[in-house]
Amino acid sequence: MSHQSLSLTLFVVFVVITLGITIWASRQTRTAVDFYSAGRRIKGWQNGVAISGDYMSAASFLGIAGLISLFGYDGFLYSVGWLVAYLTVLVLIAELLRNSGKYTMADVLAYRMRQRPVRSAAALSTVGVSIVYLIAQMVGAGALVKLLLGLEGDTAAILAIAGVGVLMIVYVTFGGMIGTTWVQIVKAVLLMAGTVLLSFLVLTKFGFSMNKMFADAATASGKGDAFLAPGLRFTSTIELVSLGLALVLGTAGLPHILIRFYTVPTAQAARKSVIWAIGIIGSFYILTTFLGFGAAALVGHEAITGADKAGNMAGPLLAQVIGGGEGSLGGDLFLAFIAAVAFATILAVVAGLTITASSSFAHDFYANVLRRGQERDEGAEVRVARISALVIGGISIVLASFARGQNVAFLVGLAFAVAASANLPTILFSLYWKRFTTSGAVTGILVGLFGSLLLVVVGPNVMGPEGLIFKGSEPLFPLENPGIVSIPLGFAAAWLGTMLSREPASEEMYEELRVRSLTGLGAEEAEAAPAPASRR
Amino acid sequence: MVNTREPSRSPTTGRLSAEEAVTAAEAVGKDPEMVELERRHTRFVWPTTIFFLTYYMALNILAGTSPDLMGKKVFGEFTFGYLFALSEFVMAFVVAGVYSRWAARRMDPLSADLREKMRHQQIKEVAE
Repeated sequence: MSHQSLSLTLFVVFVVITLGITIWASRQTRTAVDFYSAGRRIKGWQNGVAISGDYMSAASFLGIAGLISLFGYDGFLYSVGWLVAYLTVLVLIAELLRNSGKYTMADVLAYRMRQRPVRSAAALSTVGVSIVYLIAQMVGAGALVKLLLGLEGDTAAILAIAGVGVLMIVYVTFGGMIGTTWVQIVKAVLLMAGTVLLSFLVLTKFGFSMNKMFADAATASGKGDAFLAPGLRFTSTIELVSLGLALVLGTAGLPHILIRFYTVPTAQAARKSVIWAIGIIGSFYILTTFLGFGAAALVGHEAITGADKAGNMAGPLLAQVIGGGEGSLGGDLFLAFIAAVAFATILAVVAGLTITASSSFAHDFYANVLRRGQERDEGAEVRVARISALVIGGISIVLASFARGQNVAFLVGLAFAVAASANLPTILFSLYWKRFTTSGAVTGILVGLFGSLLLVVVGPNVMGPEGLIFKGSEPLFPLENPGIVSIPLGFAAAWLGTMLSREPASEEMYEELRVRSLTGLGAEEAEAAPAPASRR
Repeated sequence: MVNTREPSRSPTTGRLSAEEAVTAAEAVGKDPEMVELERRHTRFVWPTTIFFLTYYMALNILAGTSPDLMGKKVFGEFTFGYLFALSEFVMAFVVAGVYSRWAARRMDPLSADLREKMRHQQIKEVAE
């Protein structure tokens, strides 16, 4: 059996298992809190595994391995930033957010503000960040399918993108948050198993000597010792600081990560889930050393860039070499396994993003803006969420088809910068600054959102000789990642918007929010489990 | 156990509804234990954040300004830069551990106390 049909078989097995989970989950999903927050019945450690599954996307598994294999040390900086980011989540946000919110990120932002403007802005930035992130994952899926199944032409990639899109719509509309959580847990276990196995086998190739691996990687790269030092990808300190800020602050503003804290019963469980996530994600990112340097030494620069210019195929190619090389049974089998893990990775992240965006649209925009003041109809709200999952899935399929061929890591890095600029200032000020007002929240979100997007559009990734569109002109903004400008801009806008207004109602409610967020008094509770299937 | 499809918000759980919490919060806000809770939180959270952000940014700044130092081999093929990057992982694990211990010892008992106090107050008010 060729590796194409093997990958396909393993992938189908994963899809069948996850569809089974989805069907089971759909039977557990009765109420709005089931659909949005898995009834808040997820255990702390389970949520930690699910967060890992939600977070480690195509950019982590395929992207970082690729960057390290091509640029050596500089690629590893992504691994460090994406882990340390969880300290921001743990220390400043997770528990307070769990205690004060209900279903979406906007619940916390709008807690003591005027609902309509804040929820509209927050829904916009939630859907915006999630769609950018979604496009990146689906572009990655398209490229993977095209390369693995050896299909030629754009039709195959578009079909793959559409296939992933349809699957994610099914997971989310039927399985809700319960289904999404378990798909993420299964994927995290698969990804860790695949990564540990691959790393171990890489080490056996070097007689368990990391020294030999580093030395061979440096030699094979043709860059020598420079491969083990910074400077091959990033030469500007400002660019490094900008990227670093976006990575370390971005996670705390990613709606699809934040809403996972609503799935656990208490703040203590939320804390426990971040600790678990830090353990799992940290171990994974340390192992990217073996994937990246291993691929550089064993696969080689030529073969990696030959398969994909951005290096995204380094991990799967490494598996093939380790298994015995192209054409061998072991090589085919291991490539197929790692490719299936990569698909699983993408699907689980995509499901998490879709439920986040659709929940925000239904809960923040439909229920609290469009139908404000009318009697609450949670059934209708969940129906709207399901329909918006369909629409958001459709939009992403179309946009991802256009975005084919773009660098996946670039798009994800952009999502991080946007999240850190638009969402983080407002979240922090809501939780920690008494004087904060509605105007501050809305200007902070909008300036952060559009400021960061604009800087990307006039930056070197889009404009100028290296850019995607305006190749003729020089970039107006010199940095690839806008973080160093757009994040302070978001904070400044939120501060200025606040200073230019006054909102006694918000200040009065601050005490209530402090008590609730710090003690859990009045926080949303877990819902009782539904009756077993046999009793219905 | 009798299974109802309603969420179990029975009075026996002792937890407050959102509406009750609003009035409760006012009383709690002035409570010396609450003041202490806030003080502990502020004193721990901000210095910790400044510490790990500084430690993290130092890696990126050094990578930009001193590539030679970062490329210096400390032992075998292990460069200073790689070891520094690995130390970031250790730092993250340690900070997470310290935070978790601190929260369990210094925060959880106080907040449990406050919740308990409010429950008694509610029961007393109902009784009166």
